[in-house]
Amino acid sequence: MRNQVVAKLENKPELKVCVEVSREWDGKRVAEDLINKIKNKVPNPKFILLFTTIDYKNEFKPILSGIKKEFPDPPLIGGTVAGFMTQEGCYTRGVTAFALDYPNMDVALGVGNNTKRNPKKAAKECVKAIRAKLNSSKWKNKFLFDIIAGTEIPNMPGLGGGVIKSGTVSKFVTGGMKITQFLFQKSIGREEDVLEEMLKELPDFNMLGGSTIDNVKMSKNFQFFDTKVLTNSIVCLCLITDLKSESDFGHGAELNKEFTITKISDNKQIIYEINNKPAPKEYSRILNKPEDIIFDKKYYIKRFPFFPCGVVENNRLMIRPFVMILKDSMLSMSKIRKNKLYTFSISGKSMVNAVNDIIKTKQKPEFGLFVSCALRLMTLGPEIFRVRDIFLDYFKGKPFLVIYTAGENVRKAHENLIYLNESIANMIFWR
Amino acid sequence: MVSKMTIKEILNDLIKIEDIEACLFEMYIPTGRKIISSEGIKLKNLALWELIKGLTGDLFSISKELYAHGLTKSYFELKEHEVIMSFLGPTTALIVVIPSLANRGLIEVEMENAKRMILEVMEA
Repeated sequence: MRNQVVAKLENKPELKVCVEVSREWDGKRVAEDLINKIKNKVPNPKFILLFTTIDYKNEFKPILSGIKKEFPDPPLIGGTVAGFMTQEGCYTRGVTAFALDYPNMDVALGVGNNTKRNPKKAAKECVKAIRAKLNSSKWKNKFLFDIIAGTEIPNMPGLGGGVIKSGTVSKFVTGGMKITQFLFQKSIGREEDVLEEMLKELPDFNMLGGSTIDNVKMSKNFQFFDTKVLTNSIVCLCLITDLKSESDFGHGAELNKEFTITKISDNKQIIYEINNKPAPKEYSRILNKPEDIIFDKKYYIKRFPFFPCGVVENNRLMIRPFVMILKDSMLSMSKIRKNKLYTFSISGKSMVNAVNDIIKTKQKPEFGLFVSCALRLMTLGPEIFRVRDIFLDYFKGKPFLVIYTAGENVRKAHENLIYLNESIANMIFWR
Repeated sequence: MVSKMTIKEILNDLIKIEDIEACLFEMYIPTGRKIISSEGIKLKNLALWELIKGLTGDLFSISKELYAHGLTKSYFELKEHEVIMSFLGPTTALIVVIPSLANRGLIEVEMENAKRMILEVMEA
């Protein structure tokens, strides 16, 4: 009510935003819970973002159909995440919905399928739908929020734990990467291939997005598009508005030792050699840690966030964790486009402090969207509540949503796409 | 929403999480020992669970000394499992058993939520 009065006094159109959480288990009850909460604050939303943890994999249909039955008009996109943070709390189990109503805004949805089999085609499908709807908008500021299928590790013998010691299985995995991607759409997400293709056609869009994930087991992830539950897809929400926004990213890492990649795959994600030596052995030497400890088959899946490398692009350090060790090679979660890499140091404290660096806008925020790596959540654990305290202090009662994903992307209009891991990216909106 | 739940209901919610194999709230008070368990556990090694429950008295004799120095958690890494004790007081803890390969950080976020809710119930 106070916001309505202030908006009228200032002669500004009213902006209604809410971020709601349901901790019910049953899909129908989740939908009812969220509907009631949204209707109280944003009775006629222009769009809805919906994220769930993988615990709800058997409840997606009743959740989506329940919400769409009550709100048939506003478009809905979302997907599975490892966790989320709102004004209400931090959760690694639950469902969250972001709803917004604002008159000075045009909205469009895009969807592209088979992102791992044919990323360019998926990007074109997605852009086509957006372009068709938004060519006539009278507003200037363009923003794209994307949710894209993340990495899925194929479930096959010898692949448990993220470390493959057998040369035969390693060759099968690296050699068969293209085959598994094409036939089964398993393996690495190909997010950068999809997004870069999309941005060729949307040069004037600010952008923020993330890759869907489960509870960091990386076995299955899903995307939502209205009532549809999708896999291997990209879903996009496009906003053209008079609201202003600012984006940035951070991680809290500091450069350490430099080293050189001497042999890498064509897709820039499998490192075969570092300093002309087999990658895992040389990497453990550079880190000064015993190979059998950092590449321990049992613990690697828990430890890999602690042994990433960094690459510097446009004077910014970007973290590249190795999600799998394949005997004599290492698989990065995202592309490594430079040969010069760095080890770096990062601590829990610097990870938390990184958040302060990305909320530096002096404008009074109306709301904020954040996409952060699930590995930060996994690493910080309950210390993540310290991050929430920073947001509560910054937003001063205004809504915000942080989703924890398999990778995050951010981009300012007319600049290059930045694809990240182990980082936090944001888009803060104001009038 | 929170205050309507009992400690048992909070534990019943926690045990539904895929990687939580067993959970328990335990409190030593001058008149005895108060234990609240979830309805059912997923841990197949029941002998281990009985052993953990039997050892908490010994663990509390340590925790009551360290709590004044800021003890919040203790971890026991076994071969196939991890036991996490999250302390709500010098001799009060939420105890959870998870597989050793589970993502502990994610589970600890929900343990923290459960701990906060239990504290609210206790304060009420």
